[in-house]
Amino acid sequence: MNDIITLLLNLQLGTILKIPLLVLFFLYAIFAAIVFNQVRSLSKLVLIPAPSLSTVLLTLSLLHLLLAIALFIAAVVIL
Amino acid sequence: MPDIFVVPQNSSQEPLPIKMVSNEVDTPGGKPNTPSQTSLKPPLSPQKNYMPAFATFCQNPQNISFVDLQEDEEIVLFLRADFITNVPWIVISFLLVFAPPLVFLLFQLNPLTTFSLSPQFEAILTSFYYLVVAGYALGNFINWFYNIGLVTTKRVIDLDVSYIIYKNVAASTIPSIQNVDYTQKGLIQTFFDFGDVLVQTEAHETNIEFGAVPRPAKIVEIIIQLKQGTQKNE
Repeated sequence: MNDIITLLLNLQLGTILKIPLLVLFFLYAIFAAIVFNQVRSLSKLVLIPAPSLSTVLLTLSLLHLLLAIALFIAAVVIL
Repeated sequence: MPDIFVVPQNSSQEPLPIKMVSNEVDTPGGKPNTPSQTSLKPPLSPQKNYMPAFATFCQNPQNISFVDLQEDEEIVLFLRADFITNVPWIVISFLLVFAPPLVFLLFQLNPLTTFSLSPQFEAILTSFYYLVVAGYALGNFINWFYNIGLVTTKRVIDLDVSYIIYKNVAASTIPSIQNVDYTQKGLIQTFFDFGDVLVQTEAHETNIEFGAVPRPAKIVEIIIQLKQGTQKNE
């Protein structure tokens, strides 16, 4: 119990900002994963080959997911 | 909820080609693309139109399919919301892209500002901000791109995607359609000729609504023709 209180007392402004920020990045990465999964399922449901724009969308959503994960990892390492 | 891709037993008969209607394709930023050699064709004609990637209205599209499309089933109409409906999110995305430099400039111009962040913190925050803006634009584009309405020779299908995490696929057979009407609200919808088409079906089936689709009058006409064709066939 004392350890927790000591930890809370020693927390600095930077640390207080870091924790919600990391949580936010993590949640956003989950959201990006949901987007990717949705695009994947939609591209299977409706086949629009015109010239494979659904593949481009799938790639973009994958890139979006990878960037979100990379940003989360970068935030963990840098901050 | 019934499985939408299960074809009812009474829909095995092929509807007949009916009244003559034009084969057309609508693309954003352009006038309806009407094939010159086939300006008048029945809705179930073998004449197919190439559907551009951003098409919002395409009659008899040749290069689209969906899960469980049967061999004797043809797509008569492909519909998406009019491209003009994308303008709000495109404008908002542009504004959001240019917001951070303005905010930084305002902070620098104000001599009383004591708030400052470390360069690493700033870089991470800025990257995250732009990722969120990109996600916002991507999400909105996917919403538009996959919000599709399909009218086939047997069914009317509505694929709704809202806020990425919600997906709804509704379908109804042509014989079960009771009424088709459309609504055009306001100056913009009237000027750009788009509106909501409501397909009312028998009580046990879901009503289908195509939101903000171009040329709603034409869509209503085609669905009614298909319905009449099915009735004649019965």
